[in-house]
Amino acid sequence: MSPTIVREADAPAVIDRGAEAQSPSLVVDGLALAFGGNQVLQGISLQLRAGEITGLIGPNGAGKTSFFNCLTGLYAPQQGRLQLGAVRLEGIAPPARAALGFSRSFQHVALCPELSIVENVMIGLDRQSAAGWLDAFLPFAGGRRERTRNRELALAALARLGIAQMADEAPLSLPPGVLRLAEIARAIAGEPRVLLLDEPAAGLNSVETHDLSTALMRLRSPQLVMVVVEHDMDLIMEVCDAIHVLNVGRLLASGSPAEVRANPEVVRVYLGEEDD
Amino acid sequence: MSSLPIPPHAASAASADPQAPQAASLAEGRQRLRRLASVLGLLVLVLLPLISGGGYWTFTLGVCFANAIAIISVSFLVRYGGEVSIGHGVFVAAGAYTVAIVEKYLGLSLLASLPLAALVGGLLGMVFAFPSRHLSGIYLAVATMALALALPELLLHFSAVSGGYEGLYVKLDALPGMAKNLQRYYLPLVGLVVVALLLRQFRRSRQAMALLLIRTSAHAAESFGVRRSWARLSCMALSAAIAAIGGALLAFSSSTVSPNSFTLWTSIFLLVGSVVSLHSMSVAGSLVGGVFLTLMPLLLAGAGDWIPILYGTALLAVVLGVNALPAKLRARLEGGHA
Repeated sequence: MSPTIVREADAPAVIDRGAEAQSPSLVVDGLALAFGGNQVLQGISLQLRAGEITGLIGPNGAGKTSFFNCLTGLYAPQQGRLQLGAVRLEGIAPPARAALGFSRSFQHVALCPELSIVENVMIGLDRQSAAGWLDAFLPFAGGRRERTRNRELALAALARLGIAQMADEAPLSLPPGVLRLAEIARAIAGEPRVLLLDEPAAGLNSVETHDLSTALMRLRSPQLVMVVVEHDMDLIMEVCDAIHVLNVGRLLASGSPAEVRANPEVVRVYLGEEDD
Repeated sequence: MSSLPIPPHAASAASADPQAPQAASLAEGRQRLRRLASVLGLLVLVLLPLISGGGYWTFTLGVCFANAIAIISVSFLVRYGGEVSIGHGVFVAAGAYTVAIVEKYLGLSLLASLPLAALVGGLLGMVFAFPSRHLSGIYLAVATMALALALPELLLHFSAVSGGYEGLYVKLDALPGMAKNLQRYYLPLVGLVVVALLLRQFRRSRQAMALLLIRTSAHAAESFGVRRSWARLSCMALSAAIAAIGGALLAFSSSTVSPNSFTLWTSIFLLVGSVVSLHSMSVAGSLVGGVFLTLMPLLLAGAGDWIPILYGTALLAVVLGVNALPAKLRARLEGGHA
C-alpha cells in the first residue's frame, strides 16, 4: 500500500535554507521502526512545517504514538533520517532533544500527583532554568527570582488554556479533561520549537474541545512545528493545515483537510462513510 | 525570541474563582495554626533539658533526634526516588566513622567533621548509585542489603583504622563551655531542624520537581530534559549525605561507634522508622519514627523473650492503625506533598 497523495516525497531537497534558519521544518525521511519481527513503522517520509498545524490520524495501532516516540527519541528507529533545520536527530537522547525545543503531551496523562498543577507545568520550563543545587537548598535571591518567573510563565500557559484557577490544585482532585489541558500547558510553557500533542482532546467534553481548538489555533506561530495526533475528526479538520494518515505503520495519505477527507482510501480505512 | 507570545492578562486569570478569597484565607489560617504549633513544639523541645535537668531522657532524646535524621534519609529516597533501601545503615556508619576517625587522627570536633561526613556520605551514595543506576524496586533493595551485610565485615577487616570490635570513641566537645549532656541533646536537635528546613526549601526547587516527575513517569520527565541517570545519582547522593549527617550526630550523641551499631538490623529498623513516620520529612513526622526506633526497644526491654513479638505487634498496630485512618487525615499526617 503506498500513499495516494504525498506532497513531501522530495521535500528535503527543496528546503529554502534562508527560511529554514528562521523557522526550521522537521524532516522525516524513510523512517522505519520494528520491535522484534513486528514492523511498527515503515518508510515514513514527510515534512512537518513550522507555522502550520499538522494532523496525524489513523486507526488504533497505526503507529501514531510510536512515530511521536521516534521524534522525541524515546524509540530509536532502525532506519531513516530525522532532521530539525540543519540538525540531524539520530543518536540524540530525549533530554537533548528537549533542549533542542521538542515538547510533547502524552496519550495517557503523565502528571506527577505529588505536585500541584502549576508545579507540573513549571517542569516544562526546566530546560530553560539555571538555578543550581545551592539555590535548591538555600533561599538565594537568584533562585527565588527564577522560581517566581517560572511560576508566572506556568500560570500564563494555564490561563491560555482556561484553567489558571486550578493552578494550586492537586492533580488527583481534578477531572481528566483538566489534567489533559494541564499537560498541554506543560508542553507549551517552555516556548517549544516542536510541539507534539498526543490525543489532546481525549476526555474533554464538547465545550472543552471547542476551547482547546481555539487555543491550538492561537498557538500557531511561524517558529513552531505543531503536530496533533487525534481521533476527534472535527477538531483535526478545524485546526489543521495539513494532515498525514497512517495505517498499519505506513503513510496512507497526506494533504489538506479537504484532500484527506475526499480520499476514498482514507474514508475506507479510517473515516468511514457518512450516515445518510 | 518567544515563539508563543503570552497575553499580558493571562496570569491574572488565576483569581477568576469567586470562592478563591475565602478558600485562600482559610488555608492561610490553617497554615498560621500549623506554624504556631511547630514553634510551640520546638519551644518545648528546647526547654525540656532545662526543665528536666538533663539525665537519661535527655541522652535518649538526643539519640532519637539523630535517628530521626537517618530516618529522613530513607524517606527522602522513598519519596523522591520511589525506591526502598535496606542498606542505609552503611551511609549512617560512613558519617559516624568519619566523625570518630577525624577526631582520632586530626583531633577535630564534630563541628569540623560534620560537613566532611556529609560529603563522604554523598560520595559513597554516588559510588553505590552509579553501578546500580539501572536497578530499581526489589533488585535495588537487595543490592542495598548486600552493602549492609558487608559493612560489619569491612569494619572488622580495617580494624587498625576503625577500631575493630571495640570501635572508636567520640569525646571532644563541639561547643566548649556547654555541659556535655546538653551538647549531646541540642546539636542533634539543631541538626534535625536544619535538615528539615533545608528539605522544605528543596521541595520548592526545580530539582525536586524533576525528581518527583521522573519517579512518576520517566518518559515524561525525559521528554522535558530530565536525565534518568542524573535523577538516580542525585537522589542517592543526597539521601546518603543526609544519612551520614544523622550518623555523625548519632556518633556524637552516643559518644561511641562500633560495628555492632551498624548491622543489617540497623538498616531494617531505619526503613521501619521511615514507614512508621509515613515517610515524612518534617521534624514532627520524622520524630514519630525516631521515637519508635529509639524508645520502643527501651520500653520493651523488660519483656525478655517477648521483645520481638511485642515489637512486631507494636509495628503492626502502628502500620494498620495509620492505614485505617481516613484518607484526608492520612494525607495531612504524611505532610501532603513530598
